[in-house]
Amino acid sequence: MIFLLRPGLIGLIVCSLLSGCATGSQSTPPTAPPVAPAGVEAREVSWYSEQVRVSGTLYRPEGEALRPGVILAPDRSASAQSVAAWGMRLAAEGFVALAIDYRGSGASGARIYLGERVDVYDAMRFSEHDVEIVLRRGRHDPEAQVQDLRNAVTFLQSERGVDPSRIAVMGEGLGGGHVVSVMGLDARVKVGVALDPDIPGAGEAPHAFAPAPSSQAAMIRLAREGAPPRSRREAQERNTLENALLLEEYRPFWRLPDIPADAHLALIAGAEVAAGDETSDARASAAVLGARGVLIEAGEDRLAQAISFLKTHQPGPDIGQ
Amino acid sequence: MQSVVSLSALCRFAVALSSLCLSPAFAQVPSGQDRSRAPAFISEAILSEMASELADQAVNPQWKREATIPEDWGYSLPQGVTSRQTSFFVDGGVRLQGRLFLPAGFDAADRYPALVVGHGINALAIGIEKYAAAFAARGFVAMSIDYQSYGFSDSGADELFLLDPDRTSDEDPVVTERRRVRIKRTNLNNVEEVKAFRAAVSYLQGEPGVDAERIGAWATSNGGTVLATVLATDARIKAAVIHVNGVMPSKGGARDLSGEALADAVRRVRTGQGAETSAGFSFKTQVDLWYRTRNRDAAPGPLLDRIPTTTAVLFLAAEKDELIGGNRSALAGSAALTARGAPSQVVTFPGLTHFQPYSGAGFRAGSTLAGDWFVRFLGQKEDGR
Repeated sequence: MIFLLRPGLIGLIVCSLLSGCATGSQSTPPTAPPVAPAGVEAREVSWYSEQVRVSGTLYRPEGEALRPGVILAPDRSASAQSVAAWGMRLAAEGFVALAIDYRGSGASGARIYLGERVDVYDAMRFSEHDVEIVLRRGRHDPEAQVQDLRNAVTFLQSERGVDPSRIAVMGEGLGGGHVVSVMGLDARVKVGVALDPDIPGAGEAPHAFAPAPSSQAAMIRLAREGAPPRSRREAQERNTLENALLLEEYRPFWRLPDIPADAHLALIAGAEVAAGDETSDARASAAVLGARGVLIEAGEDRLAQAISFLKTHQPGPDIGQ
Repeated sequence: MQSVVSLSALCRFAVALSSLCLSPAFAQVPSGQDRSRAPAFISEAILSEMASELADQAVNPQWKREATIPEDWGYSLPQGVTSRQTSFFVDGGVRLQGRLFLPAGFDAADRYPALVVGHGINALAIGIEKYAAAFAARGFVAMSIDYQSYGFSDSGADELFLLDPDRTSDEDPVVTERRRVRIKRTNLNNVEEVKAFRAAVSYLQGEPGVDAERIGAWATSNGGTVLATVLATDARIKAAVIHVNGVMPSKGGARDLSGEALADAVRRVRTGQGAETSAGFSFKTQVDLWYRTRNRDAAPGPLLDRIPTTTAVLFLAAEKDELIGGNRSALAGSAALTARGAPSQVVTFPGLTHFQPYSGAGFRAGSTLAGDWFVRFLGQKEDGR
């Protein structure tokens, strides 16, 4: 049953499982749905990531064969549409690809906070309330985005026509850093591609975070006065401040040693890397990965390079045969 | 029947505390004799002085405990200590609640060391407020906290399920409106508890009269697991006491998700809510089964090398701890820290089981030893004038 879900059905299934669910609770679709090439189906799907209804676009080739899946991770503040072209091309090459919007951005739902005190008791495990809530968007929490990707892996594993044992993750910029995080945390993902990745943490031994005075002052202010913002201006300021603090602590590079010995990660980066740029995150990551990684100099068509790598490590019924 | 239920609860608890007994590092745990050669930073003499009371607590049926009971939670405010409720915020605006204890004669013009005091698995701050009160009597500003979705703290984004449509778009960074939501409580989640500790540290750093460079933390049982991860994540905490728990050093590595746990994960992404199980001892409730998977993301075993060597960690262990196998993980964690050159010590309550040190002689000895540790490594009030 769960493997036959179509997007329009998801809301109905949710409502049949959970009391009190309003019908028609689909997220707003993105403004311009991508146009898929012939032989590729593109449709909006949604699922839950830690209670937030998140959305994405699923790109699927024709036919009923069991196929490998690829999760597409946008850059930190980018949307699923930014990787739509990858999705269509991957589907044309025989993969089922899922481009996601992280929580609080694009077509995904907001992060919600209580706007008033509600009388609840721990013995009331679940209770429903009409209550003032504050819906925040544009707060790009990297670790939450990593959870969104892991939950997208789970979603794709349970989609029809997808081989749940062959899910890869592919991302660009900090999305490439998220690929490292997912593979270092989650052994379900054995194949990854990081395009021109930002992988913060290179060159530092893993250590506890000691905030600079300005960061510590901001942390104190948020802890003492950080009720949810109410005005547009206040929310924008909070997003800027909190996003900077969250990024300051995000260290996907430190997760490289946790990637399993039988995993494969391609780091595809520009010419300066091939020229030996020692400050490159991709080069430094490849050095840590050893046999688990490969550093590829980006050519004219990075996507073709990524697809070639994916086909080598997770061939499907229509792939490489 | 009762014993069967109890046994399964213990197994769940052992899972929550960390994969103690299955860890390959377990075989390398040094024996108590080896460990005893490490320097003692505080005196254990109180255990000898209270030997007969502790011996009575160990065997007298009146003190037998399979959880704490309300009689164990009560306390009187020590002479001159004052207390008030506080609110602090985490994770973009979730309101958590603490109870702040100030020492007798507190003067915000002076500079006091301050402590966060955290409860155990699926529990409430009211069970451990008496430790914060005892530390205030020793001259510390101390704040006991309820973790997110527990006690007087609010539920956060992970526990608020929007039942109405979400019509927000990226045009608006914030929208405030009246909506129908399903609020979840007791969402056991060590990742969120790590954030709660850190936000409490920030709150105390900004409290008038607190010396922001002298922050410590005390946490019990599963809270000790959380605190160990906090110490490896946040260098602002300079001294810690982990009560009735330890940290078994372990190798990191990606974790698999398969079988029933994966089926539950699928249910969560498809419906927003997965299976439940019961948890807790002193305060039992239903929780999400998912906590067993999620808490692995905050496991401290692989992170011990990240704890600053200037952070001082005392483990107060119960010799007969039936949930985590006595003081083995306390000895192992302390040995790992000592090997790195960090000040660490284990003091073991003789004869006591997991839930006994919260009351009677165990409480008096344990709160005194913890206070000694904080005095040793954080010092006391400094005159601000």
